[in-house]
Amino acid sequence: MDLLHNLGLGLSVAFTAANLLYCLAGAAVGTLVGVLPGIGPVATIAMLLPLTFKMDPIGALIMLSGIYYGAHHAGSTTAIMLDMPGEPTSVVICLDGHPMARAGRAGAALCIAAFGSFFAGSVGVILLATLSPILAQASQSFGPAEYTSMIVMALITAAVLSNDSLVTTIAMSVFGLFLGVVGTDVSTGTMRFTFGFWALGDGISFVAVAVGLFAIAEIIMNIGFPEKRPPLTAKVKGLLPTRADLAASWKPILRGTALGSAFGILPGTGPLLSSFASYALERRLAKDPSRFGKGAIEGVAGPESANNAAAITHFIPMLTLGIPAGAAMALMLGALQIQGISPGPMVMTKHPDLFWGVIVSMWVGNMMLLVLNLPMVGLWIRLLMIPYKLLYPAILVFCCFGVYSVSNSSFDVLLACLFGVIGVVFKKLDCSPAPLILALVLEPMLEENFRRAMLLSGGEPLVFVTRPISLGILLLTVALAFFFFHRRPGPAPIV
Amino acid sequence: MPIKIMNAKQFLSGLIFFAIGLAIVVEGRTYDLGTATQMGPGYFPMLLGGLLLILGAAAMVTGARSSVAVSIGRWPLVPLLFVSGAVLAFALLINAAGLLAAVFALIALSCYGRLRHHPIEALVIFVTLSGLTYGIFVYVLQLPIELIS
Repeated sequence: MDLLHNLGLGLSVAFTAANLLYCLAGAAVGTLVGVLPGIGPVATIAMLLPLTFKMDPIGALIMLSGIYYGAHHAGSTTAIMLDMPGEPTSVVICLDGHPMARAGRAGAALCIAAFGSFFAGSVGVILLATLSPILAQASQSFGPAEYTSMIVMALITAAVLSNDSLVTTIAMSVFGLFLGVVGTDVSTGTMRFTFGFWALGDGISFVAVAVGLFAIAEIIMNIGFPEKRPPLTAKVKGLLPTRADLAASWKPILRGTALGSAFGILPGTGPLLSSFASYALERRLAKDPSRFGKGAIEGVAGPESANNAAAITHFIPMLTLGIPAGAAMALMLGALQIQGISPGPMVMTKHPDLFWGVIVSMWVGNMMLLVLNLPMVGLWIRLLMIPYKLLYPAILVFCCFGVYSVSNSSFDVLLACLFGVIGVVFKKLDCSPAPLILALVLEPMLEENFRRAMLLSGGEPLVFVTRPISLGILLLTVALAFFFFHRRPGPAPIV
Repeated sequence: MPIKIMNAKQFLSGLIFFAIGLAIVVEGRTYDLGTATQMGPGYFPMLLGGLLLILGAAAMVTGARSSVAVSIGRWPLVPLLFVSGAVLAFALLINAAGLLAAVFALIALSCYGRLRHHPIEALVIFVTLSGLTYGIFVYVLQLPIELIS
């Protein structure tokens, strides 16, 4: 069977010494970043991206993806132990995970979280392996109109599925698109909006923007508004989950995995919303909902599984269609493009070793995370004691060198500085930067396909609704928008 | 009669987007628009600028008339100044004066902010990070950066 053959190829790629090392490095860095507050996977990926340009693309993608899903696994550790979510996706885990820890049941909570994550991650990988060829096949009949609609769908869904105001999120996307316009117009060769800066001829470096918006702005905000770190209150004394725990958890794990897998594929903050959705679902289905908030294991099992299934399926649109579903995916897409690989339906045929190698190594990474997260919990907790004032100079230095190293350009570092300031303004005004970077990376693809679609249709804008697949995509977008707009399963919007 | 703006965050972000949209449309008029079939360089940007004008205006209106009052709160001015100054210094110094000067300026400025470091602490950080970045970026990745230029 084709799938077995491909998985065999993937195994041979994933199990080389170098790639195993990259996988471990990614998972470890991801765990570190997931545990430490003040730095997240997107900022880390942005920071380390320049280093990966000198690496082989397969190893680079393995490492970067390890950082991404590793961080999602690890955020629950601090949520349970310290009532402090390492990642926004772990906020719900605090609600029932920490009361469990306070009652001396930290071990059980951590165990269930870890096994739920592993199961969910494995299912995610299976979905990735089976759905991708189907999706790629389906997209063979995609023309420029379909791609345009897909990208519009990605941008709008990302806006609807976030918790910020719809208007500002779409505006951020449009602004991101504009930033993508800056530079030389490929079709006509004219310089657009460069204002005489020849360094902008190649466009605004997305690494500079990402580092500025996500890493530098975050550092400034953390220094300006420091968070109090609570002292260690819970001890982990090797308590395995009881039979009752396992009996109560297996259905939430299954439900969470299903929910997370679905949410993760949709562009937007899928992983974040999936954990909230799972918590809400478990509470609604529980026989005694009043247990929630006091240490109900379902409140840990479900959301954690949802979170991790979503983290894996989040890769599907990027790997199969070349359309990133989130900021981290956008960065990885950009990294692959710089390495000369255009993710999309062709990647499976042109670079099968990359595609299947990454998929298999995701599963390997999930296994490594079991070891990293459970027995080594104590180490990570201790690392949390590093004061932020020792961390941020290192982050800042690496950011500067990283951005500089992309094209040996200090102009890029200046850009990063500018976007750091812009990032602070947006953070203060509750404008999410993720849609911006998504749009920035997608702009060339959007404009080119839009142009071509209009050229082929003879200037007829209705082409996007007369072609059936394109119409279907747009209708799906509208349906998702209506479905989710008033029922966003996230925390109450910051009004 | 003064108009009360309820959601200051939304309003201000709308204002910013409106201003950006305006700037795009004004500058974009200098580019050839072309036709829908043969799009000139200015077609897409003008579209985007127009969208931003609309979205910005919408955000201003919804922000002003929001049902919940939201204020912006204080800005992290001191860290903003020092950290951006630090990165700026790095950008200016890395080619002109070399790695050591650039890292020194970066650490000196960024470690002055709210979280004041003990000078010895900052010095240790400087030495460690200089060594580390030299090792990784110059030795391993072979970037053309000199220690002192």
